[in-house]
Amino acid sequence: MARKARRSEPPKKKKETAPAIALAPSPGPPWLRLALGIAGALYIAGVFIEGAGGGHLERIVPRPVLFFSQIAALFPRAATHRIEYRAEGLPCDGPAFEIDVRPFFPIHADDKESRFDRALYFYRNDRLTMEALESYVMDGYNRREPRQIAGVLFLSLRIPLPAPGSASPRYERAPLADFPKEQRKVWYVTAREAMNRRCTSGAP
Amino acid sequence: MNTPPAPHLSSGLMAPQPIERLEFVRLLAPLAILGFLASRLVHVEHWLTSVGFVVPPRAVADYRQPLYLPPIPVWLAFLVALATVASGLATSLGYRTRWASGIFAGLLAYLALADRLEAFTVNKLGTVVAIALFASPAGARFSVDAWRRRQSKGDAPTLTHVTWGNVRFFQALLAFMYLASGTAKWRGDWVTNPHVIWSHLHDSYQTTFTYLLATTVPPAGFTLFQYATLAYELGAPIWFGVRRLRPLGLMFGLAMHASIGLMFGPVVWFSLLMMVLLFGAFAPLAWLSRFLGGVYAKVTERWAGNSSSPAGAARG
Repeated sequence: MARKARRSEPPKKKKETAPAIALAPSPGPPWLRLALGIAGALYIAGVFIEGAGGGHLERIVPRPVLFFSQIAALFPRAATHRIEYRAEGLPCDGPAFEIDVRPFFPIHADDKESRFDRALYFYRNDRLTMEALESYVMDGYNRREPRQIAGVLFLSLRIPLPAPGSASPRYERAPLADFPKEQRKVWYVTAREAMNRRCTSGAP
Repeated sequence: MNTPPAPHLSSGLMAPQPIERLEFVRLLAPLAILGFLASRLVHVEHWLTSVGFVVPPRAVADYRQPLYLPPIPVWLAFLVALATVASGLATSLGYRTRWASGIFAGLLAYLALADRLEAFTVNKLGTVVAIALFASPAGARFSVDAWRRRQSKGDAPTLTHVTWGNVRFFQALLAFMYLASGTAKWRGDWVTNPHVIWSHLHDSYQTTFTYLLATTVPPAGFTLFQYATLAYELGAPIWFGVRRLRPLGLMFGLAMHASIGLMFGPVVWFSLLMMVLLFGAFAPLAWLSRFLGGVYAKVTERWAGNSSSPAGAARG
């Protein structure tokens, strides 16, 4: 009898034995929660489309918003070379010489997250930015060093990678002079007229 | 405020989710983001002011400068740095979480947009994580806020769950971020060139660990890692969508990010942020509960030394 009674218990009895929960209230009214949910879904879709390379969302999404969805396509290609960016100073007399720019760019000075490396990575073909970089490097150098420069040369080093399985040397920053000419690619050099003007005025 | 709709636990996509997942992200993601920012904030004058190199405004916005924000005075840059650290730490501690996470999100957005040269995945993704925390009930438990609430309302119930979107957002973001990354790799060189990972081991990101691997692991080892990573990323919606495969996806993801963090110096903060999101989103609930409960109890009992400590608020 008792067994039969247990069997005839209504289903809601079973529900009552489920663990009770206390739900933390989400901030905002229901319409705002819905809007946030839609915004979240659109953001995830944006991350996917931007990362997978299938869309041109800049046509429909404001760039400052789209910027935050460009996070997924990391290292999609093999490196062909080890790339390093360097600078040379151009004095009024004598040959060009390497400038160590690291003191002027103290954030991650020793790796490729340095502002100097990033500036050349993103803007090496942008004259306006390269001129601003020239001005900044020249100012920094001439304020610190007795031998003044009247111009700069920015270049990248394209250092061949060791073959897979071959002896891999430990990374170290070697002087520019150690690298042959064919490994150097010049991206920016101060115009000769600007050099002449600075040198004749005596104020590089 | 939304009224809690469901008094009982159910399963399914739209079921309430354990609050531990959200609180784990709230506790640790801001610390990973601040870790990334630390090396920049100590030189903030070289970052946000004209003391350092400033990219001039471009005539037309592009991917390098989506919005031009001019340099700010040095005193303001230091204020921004202090506010970023304070709001990030307050979010992590769960102290006035709504305000803290909102300010943190706003400052991270500013820092990411202010200068493309210092915008990386960590501060772009970090901004979105902070916004998601701001828009959620983060800080409702295992936090200073929870302790203060219990102090003022002694009979307040211990909150156990949040509505589904607060957790599902992070889970879906991870799955689709990996899928996008895998697709980009597929379209790039990862299928046709077996030495992609090897090719990235030799530049200034190289660590002692990388050098050790490069000199001891045969090329086939890197190729295996490369294809395993590709399979993991392309299959992410499956690894994390199918409940039985989730532990496998979690373990591989954590191991992959740990390897990346050890191999590519400054990328360690990206790895840590991804590991926090992965663990918070997909780790077994018992692990999260044990970790959060343990840390919370240890910290707060030492601090307060009595039953009215925040540990009590966490335990209920």
